[in-house]
Amino acid sequence: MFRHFVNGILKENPVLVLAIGLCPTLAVSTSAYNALGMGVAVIFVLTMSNLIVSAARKVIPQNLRIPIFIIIISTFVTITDYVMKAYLPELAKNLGVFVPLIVVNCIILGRAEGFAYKHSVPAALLDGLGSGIGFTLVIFIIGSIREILGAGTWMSIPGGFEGFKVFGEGFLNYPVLFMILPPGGFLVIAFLMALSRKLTGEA
Amino acid sequence: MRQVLVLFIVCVLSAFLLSFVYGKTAPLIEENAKKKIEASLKEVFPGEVEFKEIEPGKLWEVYRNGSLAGFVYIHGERGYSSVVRAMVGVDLEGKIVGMKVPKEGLSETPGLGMKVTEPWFSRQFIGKYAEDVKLKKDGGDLDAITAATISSRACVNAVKNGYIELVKKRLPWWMKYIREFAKEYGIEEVEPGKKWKVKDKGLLYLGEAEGFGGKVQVLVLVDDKGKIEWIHIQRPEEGLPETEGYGTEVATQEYEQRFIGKSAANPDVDVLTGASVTSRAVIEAVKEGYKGGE
Repeated sequence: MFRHFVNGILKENPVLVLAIGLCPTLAVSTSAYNALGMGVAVIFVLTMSNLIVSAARKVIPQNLRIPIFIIIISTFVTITDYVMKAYLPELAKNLGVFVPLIVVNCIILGRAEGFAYKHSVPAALLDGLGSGIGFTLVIFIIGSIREILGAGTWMSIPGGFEGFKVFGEGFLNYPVLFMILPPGGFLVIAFLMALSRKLTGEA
Repeated sequence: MRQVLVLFIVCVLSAFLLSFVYGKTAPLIEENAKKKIEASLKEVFPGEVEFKEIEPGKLWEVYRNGSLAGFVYIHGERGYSSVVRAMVGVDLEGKIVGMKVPKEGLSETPGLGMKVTEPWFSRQFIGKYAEDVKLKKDGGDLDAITAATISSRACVNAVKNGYIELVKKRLPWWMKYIREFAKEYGIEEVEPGKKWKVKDKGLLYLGEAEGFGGKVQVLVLVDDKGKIEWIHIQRPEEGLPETEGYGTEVATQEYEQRFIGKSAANPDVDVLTGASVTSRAVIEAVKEGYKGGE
């Protein structure tokens, strides 16, 4: 049972191994805080949708499953969107359209269709948590690398904490701007993928 | 049949859940939005002021101690890859009190065009006349952002064109003259919207009195002995409410000329035939505005 949890983090990591859910991974990983916010939102939506889909899998008709998955997923995404806008307006502003876009995140529909619809509730729960945490870890690492190199800070929070100045004050004026632009995202993700292949011994 | 029922139940449950969460969060979301607008308004128009929304999300009147002290407007111009909007606070003379570029909806190049949101850029605008802002490149005195001229220029144009629009829509007719005095000599407000001290020249005031069709306004400059140095009578195109061809005859340079050199406290100027009510109103307005102005 526990391997479902670990699977999502390592062997079937959605981003590094399955290479799905890349759009939000690239788009909001410009800072560690944004990435973390996105990760937590995905964990919530993924776990809840997995849970409901798995619990209701016996009553969901085979040929209607996709629309029903989408309704369930978008319900939780909308809840996340409301809650974030109400309690973390700055974060909601930064993530912008990528919160509603979680609806079409392949990780979530993929786990609902590929796993939760065929497995028991506890297994689906663990799988959701695992995949969600796997996604969050990767996007957080990417966000950290890009923020540290591209802005010179780490964990800066808009309207709050100004972040750890990793390379000192001087670096803040002339950071490696390239890293927070889209090419920087592709580059970091490529290096991480290569590294994970190396570590798992697949390449 | 079963399929329809399942889909229906799923939708109903989803709707219930969402309306519950929405009910809980909607007031908070609204409050956040309001707080944010209020905070930005305070940023571009600091001090003990109150804001009155005129056009939702676009234009506010600013009141200090109950009298109009300026405006805050938002205007957008096409930038490099999005619309650059400027939120600008101006006082009644058209001088910029504060400016900021909201990040919402702005998607210029990160690290280049996006720098229009940075304080050092917007701070340059403070103290400038909104209608005269120009980049150094275009012959003005504002620094553009390196490698982001298009975004910088869009921002400058947003400030300028927004102001031109504001003037057309909201500003009283006499603002134009106040601004000219402010630019040429420098002025100091004595009573908002009523009296100004013009450096080395004397006192500028706005007087008004009831005419034939409504309030007639005059703008008068007197020296420190109370002698009229300059006068402008509201023109029909500036909203003079008098009868065309009769009352409007007073609104000419020729009639204004007769006031020059007279005492503002009691100007002995002839009443114009055919426009006696209006000319009396003008004389009355000159006196009324001067009252207590020494």
